[in-house]
Amino acid sequence: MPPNTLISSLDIAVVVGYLALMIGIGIFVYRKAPSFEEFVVAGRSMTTPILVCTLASTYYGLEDLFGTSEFAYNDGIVAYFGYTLLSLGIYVFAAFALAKRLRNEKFISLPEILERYYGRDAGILGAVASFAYSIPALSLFALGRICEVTLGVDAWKGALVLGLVALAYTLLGGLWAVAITDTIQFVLMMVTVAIGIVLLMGDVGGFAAVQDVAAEGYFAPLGGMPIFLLLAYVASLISVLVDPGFYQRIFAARSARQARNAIFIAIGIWLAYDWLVTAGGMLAKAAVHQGMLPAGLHSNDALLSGVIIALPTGLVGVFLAGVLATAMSTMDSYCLVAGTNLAYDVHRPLWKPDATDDELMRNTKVGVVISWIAGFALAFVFDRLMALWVFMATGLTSTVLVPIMAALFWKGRRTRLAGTLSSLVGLVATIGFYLAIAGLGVENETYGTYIWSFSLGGARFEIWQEYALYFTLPMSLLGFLVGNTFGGDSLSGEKEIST
Amino acid sequence: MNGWDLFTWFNAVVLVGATSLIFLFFLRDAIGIFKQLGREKE
Repeated sequence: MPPNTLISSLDIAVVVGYLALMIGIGIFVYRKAPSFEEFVVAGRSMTTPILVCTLASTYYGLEDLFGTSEFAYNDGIVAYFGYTLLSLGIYVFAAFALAKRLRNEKFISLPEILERYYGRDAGILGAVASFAYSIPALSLFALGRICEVTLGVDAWKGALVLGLVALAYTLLGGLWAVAITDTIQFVLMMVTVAIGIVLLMGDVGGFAAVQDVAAEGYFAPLGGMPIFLLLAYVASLISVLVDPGFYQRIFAARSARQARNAIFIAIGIWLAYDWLVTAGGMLAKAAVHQGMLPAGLHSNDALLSGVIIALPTGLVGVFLAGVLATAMSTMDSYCLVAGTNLAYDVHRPLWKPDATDDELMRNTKVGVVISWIAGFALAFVFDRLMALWVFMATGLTSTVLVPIMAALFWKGRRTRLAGTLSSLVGLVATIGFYLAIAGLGVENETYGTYIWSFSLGGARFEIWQEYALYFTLPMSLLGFLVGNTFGGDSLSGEKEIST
Repeated sequence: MNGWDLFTWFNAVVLVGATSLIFLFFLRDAIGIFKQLGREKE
């Protein structure tokens, strides 16, 4: 049974009410937020509870809600014990190592770290990579897909309407509006998922029913996952350490301690939420066997369909609002990051070093609109969005990880040339690696990627596009070392630029 | 009810409880910050 046949007009009314509330919050904050710093980093006054809400909702997009539940539906609890626990380990490192350094130096954006430590050129390279990574194509596409599956409207129309709502409140209120709407979205997501999964568990007869129909290994914590695949996951998760939206929230914290505490509390929330999403996927498996869900159910729709049949009328609308919120809270945050990259990290250093507060604010809003339009165009023109996002994430990590970690933690000499070469080599190496594997390899339809297979010394090897970081990060490090050896001047990292 | 059912219940209760608490603290902090913002704008 398609989910949209189970949605009543009361549920639609709840969704419409939610969207009106989001716009209302934007208008409310618009009348309060006075400056560029308020707009972009909320005046650096965010406390732990506000940070927890905005962190938890921004980093949990639909790829987690549907990706993790799909993984669980197909492979069982490895989705939780193999993937979630690994990814949260990276956040623990981020809380300990990054929060204090990032908050205390009063940065506005991630590329500004490169600009202060290595000069304008490195900053602009970082801004280009950060902007590309932050274009909200995937979340706009996901918004459209949800509208199509649940409400029966065309994907592009749904993405247009809901995307414009998120754009409106982001333009009106900046990070404050994003954070407050994130909070509403956070509450909707967490509460409806918790209630929906518990009800679904009751409906199917608990995990005993899953055990009756599960394949071998479905309840094995690592599910027979090969070690190389785990290593590939770890490599892909490194992008968390240079995620510009994550950095923006640390910059916006009232203190380093509040930022660190918020990350730890968010990790606790994610642990509980991820288990419920995993459980939802597994319970949907039993629901299919019992005929409660159709036999041909796409694994990607398992959680959505399972929870919708379990929830009563009215709460389905709240759940749908929560699902839409999941995509909107990710989209609004990255639009704001991308807008800041264009205005503050590219336009200001290149053309307007003495930009006033009002000019920066206006240019950031123009940048937000540009990133939204780029995201919408990509979402409905490009058909390999996930691969595109992986490429953008690889590009950002390869461009900024080495110079930023050196800026924050390396006490020795750091020349301008080191930063510029490290960023440039990382960016060029990413593009070169992807083009080379696409040229030498063959497309794999199952995994949606290119794989180059070759023999060497009698042994057979395969190189996937996803292995790019193993190649590009050492190249970026090499660029840094060469630049540090031959480069002349160094910057102190003190704030020398006008804001 | 087996161990996984209990684990699911435990996580659901933790999630709803933690979300409610955080939301209450959020309201307290946000009201204070917006009063201050309003004063700065005046």
